[in-house]
Amino acid sequence: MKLKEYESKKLFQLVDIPISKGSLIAESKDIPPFNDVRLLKVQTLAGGRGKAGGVCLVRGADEARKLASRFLHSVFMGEQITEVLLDEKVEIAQELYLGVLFDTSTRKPVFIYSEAGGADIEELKKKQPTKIVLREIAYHEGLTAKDLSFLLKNSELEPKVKAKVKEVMTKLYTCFTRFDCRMLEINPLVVTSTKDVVAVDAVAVLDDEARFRWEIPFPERTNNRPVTKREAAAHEIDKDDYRGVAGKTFVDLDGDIAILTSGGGASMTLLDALVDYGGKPANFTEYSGNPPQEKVEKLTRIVLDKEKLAGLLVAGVIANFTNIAETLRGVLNVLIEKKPRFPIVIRRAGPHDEEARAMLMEAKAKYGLDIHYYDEKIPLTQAAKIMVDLSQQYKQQKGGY
Amino acid sequence: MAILINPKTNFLIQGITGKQGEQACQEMLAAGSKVVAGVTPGKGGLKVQDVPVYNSIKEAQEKHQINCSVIFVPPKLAKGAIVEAIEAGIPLINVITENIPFHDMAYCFSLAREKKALIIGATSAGIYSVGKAKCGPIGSGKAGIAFTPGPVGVISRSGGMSCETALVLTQAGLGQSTVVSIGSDILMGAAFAELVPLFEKDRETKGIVLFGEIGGTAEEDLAAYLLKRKEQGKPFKKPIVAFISGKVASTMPGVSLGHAGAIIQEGKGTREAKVKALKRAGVIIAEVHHEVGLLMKKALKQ
Repeated sequence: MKLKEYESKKLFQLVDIPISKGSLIAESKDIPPFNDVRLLKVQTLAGGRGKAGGVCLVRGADEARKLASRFLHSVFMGEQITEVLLDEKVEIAQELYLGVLFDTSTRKPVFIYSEAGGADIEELKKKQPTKIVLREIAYHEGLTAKDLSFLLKNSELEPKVKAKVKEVMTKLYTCFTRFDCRMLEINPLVVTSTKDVVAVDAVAVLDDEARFRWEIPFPERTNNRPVTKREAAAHEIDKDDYRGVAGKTFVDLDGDIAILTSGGGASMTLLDALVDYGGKPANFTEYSGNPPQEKVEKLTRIVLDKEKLAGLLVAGVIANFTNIAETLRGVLNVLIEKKPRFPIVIRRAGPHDEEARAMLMEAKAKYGLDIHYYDEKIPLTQAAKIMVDLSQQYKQQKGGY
Repeated sequence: MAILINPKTNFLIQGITGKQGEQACQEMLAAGSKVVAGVTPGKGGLKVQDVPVYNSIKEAQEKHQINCSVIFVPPKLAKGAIVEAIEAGIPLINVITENIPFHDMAYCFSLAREKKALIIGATSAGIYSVGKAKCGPIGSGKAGIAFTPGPVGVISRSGGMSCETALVLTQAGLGQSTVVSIGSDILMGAAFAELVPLFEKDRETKGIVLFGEIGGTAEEDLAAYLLKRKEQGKPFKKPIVAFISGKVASTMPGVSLGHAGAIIQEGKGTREAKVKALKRAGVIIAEVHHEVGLLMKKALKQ
């Protein structure tokens, strides 16, 4: 999970990395009186806010309040803004860049250091790669004295400042491991006119799997855009019942084929095949781990709660544990209630799949549902093709929408 | 022949007394695997499916020679269990546990590198040398019908899709030598680049099928390895067919790793980048998953 600047700086405070003094503002009226020049910084998750006009110099409280009220409770860079940071204006002599993250090729943390920090660090990598120093860290040994001297070997900083930077490097690495960061960045670490070093901006991405040991319980957030009604409803399903997973990954999409998939890799693969064959998914979602019938029923109700659907695809990998009959009964209950006219393609195999087939065939005859049931004899992605073909026929018969 | 595991491999199950561990034990024995011991701290002296349970690996090693440990320990305790296996000198460690924190796995990979242990996983569904030996839950239950012995090696980042990949190969008339589920975490143990050389040496394996996903760099790493082999004048000879999922998923919101991510990843990680790199390195790309069977059949005829 990505943190905002002020949240990342909370981590820095816990390991004594010097940060610029600022106060977090949620309402413009809360800005206290002042007369000097300060920085007003919009708190976003997306990078590049400076270039988009989200970091402004303000002189005095009136100007700050005026500007803050323009940003707060409005949308900036596609995000709903809930906080701004009113920060001291640090006198900049030089800007440094410090970062740590995992390299998935080597499976090691990499420390990144540059004495030409600032917003254009990525450009620098292309134009003057020698100005960026990279150092792989042996995780079980930690950041060693050797690593530090490697990072600083071409440093042009004066000794007093260099010693301070070295200290920040050590603290940053401590912060990285102690708070389970996937990525941590100070850009810039400012060398002030008085030869101090101050972290003026910060980015941290925490590992969600380690949430159980986070020292600060940051609130959950899934993505930058506000959640839709259907997404919010789907995310609720798992909250009252720990058996299996259903709806956790629900994402609204703008197509007309409703989707209920099982298995993470399979879900992605099915969606790709559906699009390749010319279909448009109405949503993405997944259920797995043998959830009870009621959970699948709730999820199905949400998946089918959309106008002008032209198909439902229920598909997943051959199940190891999931009771195919019980989970599909959850789907069927909603189908019987809604009696949709569009084609329903099901490709499932695993425990109790013969029972599921009998149940579905009976319902097909009794309620006139257009159900097409397949087991493992049809490849998973073949089911996506069948779905798209049937859905197109259905739309043609209806005169097309 | 096969890779990683065979009928002579002596398996240890860490977390054998848990529900998943016990079920895997039963299935592994049924598939012909030699499960010689289990470990659950505090449960020493018990037996699971007639397999003796010990309190520690050290205790188990006094009675048994162990070649491979398979790990079913809950995520919060997994690091300790993996470290115990590495320190005990077990050469192959297959981590089935899901949701292990990034930093815990990073520690294990770092230690394993020093002690020369090979880790497969985490989030692996297991390893299956078809008809010979099975490690972990891979191909359990009805999924057993998907696998047939034969000449194709499979490496998959998705557990469920390792079985579906075997299924489409079987349906195309191609059996499998060993199917390896390497796990879907982006920071993972042995992946494509580390495993294809093992399939190259395996005389039974004639071709390799991969299931890749967006995120991480496992596919790009393989491409770099294959290109390096070409430059060295020792091109990789066995055909490789890959399917990479994530066309639609890449349009959904994800977490950006900021400048640091851009500096290290240099545009890697997207499906487009992976497909481009693999094609350049001579890998055959299947656009739809179930085409991997026919593409491999065609490649093996040439």
